[in-house]
Amino acid sequence: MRVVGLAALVAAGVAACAFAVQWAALPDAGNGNVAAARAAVWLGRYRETRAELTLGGRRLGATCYHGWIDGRRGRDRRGTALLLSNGDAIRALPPHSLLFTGIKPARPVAALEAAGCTKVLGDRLAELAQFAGTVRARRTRFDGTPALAVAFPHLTLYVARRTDIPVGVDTFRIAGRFRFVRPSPRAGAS
Amino acid sequence: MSELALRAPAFRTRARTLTWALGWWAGGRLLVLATAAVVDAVGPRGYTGGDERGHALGLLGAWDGRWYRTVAEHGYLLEPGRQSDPAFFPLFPLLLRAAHALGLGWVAGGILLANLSFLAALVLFAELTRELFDEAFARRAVMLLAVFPAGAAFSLAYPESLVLALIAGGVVAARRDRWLLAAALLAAGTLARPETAFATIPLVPLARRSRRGVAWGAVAAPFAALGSFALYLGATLHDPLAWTHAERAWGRRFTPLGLARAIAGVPQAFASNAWVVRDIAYFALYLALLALAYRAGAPLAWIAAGALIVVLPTFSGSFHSINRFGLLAPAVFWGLAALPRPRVVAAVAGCLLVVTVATLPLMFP
Repeated sequence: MRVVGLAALVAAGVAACAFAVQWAALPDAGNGNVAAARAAVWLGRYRETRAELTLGGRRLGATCYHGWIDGRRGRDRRGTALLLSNGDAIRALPPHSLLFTGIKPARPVAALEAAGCTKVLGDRLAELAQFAGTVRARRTRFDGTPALAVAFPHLTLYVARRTDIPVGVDTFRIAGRFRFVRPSPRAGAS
Repeated sequence: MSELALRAPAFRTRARTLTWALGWWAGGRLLVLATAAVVDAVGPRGYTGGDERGHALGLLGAWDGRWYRTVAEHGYLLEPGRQSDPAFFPLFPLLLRAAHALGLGWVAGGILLANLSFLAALVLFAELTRELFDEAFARRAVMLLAVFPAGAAFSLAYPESLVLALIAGGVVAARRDRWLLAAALLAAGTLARPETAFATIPLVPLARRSRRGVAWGAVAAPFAALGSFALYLGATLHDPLAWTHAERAWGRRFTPLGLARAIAGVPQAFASNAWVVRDIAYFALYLALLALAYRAGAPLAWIAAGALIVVLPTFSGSFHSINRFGLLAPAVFWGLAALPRPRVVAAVAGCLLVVTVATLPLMFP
């Protein structure tokens, strides 16, 4: 019995010391990083957004869809399509192809991100949350509602204050506000 | 004869082994560092990030080194469904933070830490091998460990060299009845890589012989350390299993049929990345070397621990990185030392070590 008690004491001591060292010496992730990671999770649950973009000083309506879209030569491909209210369109086909209808914007990927395109913005936020350093979230108002602003290099994300649902993005002078349209079938599973 | 006179030859033998380990460490690491510097100057840089390109040895800080730096700099952040840093254990990032506090850069600190740890690993491995076999065998094993091709990972900003040092040190301490030290070393090792827990297998017979509570405490220590990590993840990320959840994003999910899944998935894995052949070859090599080690007289407990270290990762459904995981099984190197013509083996291994470092920009270790 004494042997078991001593063994348990050593194990408990080890666990307590190890926990204390981790607790004391490892930094906590920034609340901005956490908000961005949670926003990426929200984006992963949807495939379509309706957005309002300010692009080159012009205000445009936009719809962004991720899923099976028209690829090259009329073949369906998995990708993201952004349709602007002026008739222009940007299609992103993985891994690195961009197709344009109408005028090619100066920063097409930034336009996709500002429109809240779920896959494009989700991947970008996930990467920024993990690797862009510790970022603090700032309380602000976005579209008249309480929000948090998370300022990464070249991209500011706005999320709803309590839920971390992404509501807007400001990147490379393209500002966008967006809302999700309908959940993807995966939403229930996640 | 005085006690001092009796101790003198043992001291001389130990000093010679130490010098031998130091010499092979310097030679082997020189090969690795020189190759990495040459690759940095003239080789491909596709997978190295900006902070690594700014360093002549930056290649050695790439791949998982970046993840360890992220944990050290910014702490853990779980991103469900995506690759995120809770998959990486905390001891190496903790030491990186300490090195950074002393003024070293993140990349340089990681590389220095790994390479100095490897010197400690060689010395402690020599000591352990000498106790289990003999002096000549220990020297052969140290020589081959120092130039083992997959041992390029011992110079990367990865925790493998540290873990090998802690495993060897922990068992040597236990064999000398210093159980609290053994508990501390093995617990620390588990906080760097969970495979350290398998080092408790050779500890069990020693604990049974000792019949002391503190000895069984040392056997339990790695599992207690593992529990402390889960507790920490629970406290900070609200998910005590964040480690395993993050692993899934790398395609690793442990199941009883994982090995069958890994074998069945070889053609598909080969189609997407032919480098899987390297990992399968190392898997077969490690198993063969464990068999050789057993024939050479390695204790069965060490063979069992080695087999678990090599085989268990495949139950996650993948052969990837087995070459690196197997480095933590000391018995593998006893098998290598049992091969005939060790100097020829060392020469071949040294050449392959250079090739391994040169191909680091193309494939993770």
